[in-house]
Amino acid sequence: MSAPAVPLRILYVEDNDLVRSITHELLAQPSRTVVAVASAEEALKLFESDVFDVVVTDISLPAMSGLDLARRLLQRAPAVPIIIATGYKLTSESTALGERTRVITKPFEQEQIDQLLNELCPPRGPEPAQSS
Amino acid sequence: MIAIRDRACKQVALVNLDVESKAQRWQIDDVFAAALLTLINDRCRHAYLHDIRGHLQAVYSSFELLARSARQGAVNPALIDNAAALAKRALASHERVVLEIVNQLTAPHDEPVVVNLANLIEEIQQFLRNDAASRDVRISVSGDKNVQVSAALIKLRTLLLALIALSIDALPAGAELQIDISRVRQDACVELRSELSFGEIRSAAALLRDPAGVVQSRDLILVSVQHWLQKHGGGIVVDRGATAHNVLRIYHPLIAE
Repeated sequence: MSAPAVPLRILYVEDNDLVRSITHELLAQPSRTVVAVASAEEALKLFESDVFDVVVTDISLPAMSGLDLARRLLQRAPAVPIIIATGYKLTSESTALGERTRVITKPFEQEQIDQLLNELCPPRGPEPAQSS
Repeated sequence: MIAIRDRACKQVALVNLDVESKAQRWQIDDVFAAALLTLINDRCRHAYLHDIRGHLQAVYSSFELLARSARQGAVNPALIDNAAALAKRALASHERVVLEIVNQLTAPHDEPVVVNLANLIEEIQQFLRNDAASRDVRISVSGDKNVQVSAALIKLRTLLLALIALSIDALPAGAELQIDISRVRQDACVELRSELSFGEIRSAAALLRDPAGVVQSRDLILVSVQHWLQKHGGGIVVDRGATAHNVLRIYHPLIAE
């Protein structure tokens, strides 16, 4: 029997409780682990202590915006892919955050976000066996 | 310079009324109120869209979740109940947002109520959060959280929204709009510190008698706000400090204690 694939770790940031809880359930799949938080500050804190493969964030957050969060995350981990969700198209200035940052316009369908996640984080092979 | 293209500007430009005549005053008030509402609704189109689409996201996602749960329902029927409950909440939430927007767009006749300025500014800040973030502008609010005035809520919200939106538009990417709420003698004071050059605020009469018959949106907003505030015992003061920042202070009488 082959070892299971390494789950994709997603950090999801959305301040609207209802949107967060529904989208969290939608993003969650056997091949993914989703951690959902309500603010950029919580996300930064978690990012310090945990490892994530990709960050999905709403642009409109209570204190620090999703754009500011993206900038801070990229300072710490320039290679981390970031998906910014927004209600309308952003200016090019705002989205100049590098090649691994994408913008998705709300309302998006699961297929669209899955496609972006696969593009930014191609499915990986099984977890390497631990040597004893 | 803001382009002169708004319907509201044209409406005001075409009005040929004697603003000094008390008999006509109510008509001028209505025109200014309509002009301000038209301008601000046009300016905030994206913010309304964001609110609608944000909640539509919950509707979309909940239906996708429902479909997924239905496929797995034979294994775990509780998944379907959960997804259906989330879908109902998402639809209810979407309806609430649309009703709020319709209320704001049409500005029904509103009677004066007690308004906590900090709460109102916080609500406007939240409404414009995405708009400001998309321009990479931050909004910070400080000051007295217990300042109360008696005012027609939708009108007061509209004029504060208009001034805050104007200030956001004037800021470069990465800048911050600072809003402070305080009491100054018998008045509530909302201070907007931005890089907007307010210039001289023209009088309503001067605006309507402009020989060219056209006005800039910014002038129209400032005059409309000034006109409404003066009618209620308040006003606007522009203060150009030593720094590059311009400070706009909006005064409105406090509730008598």
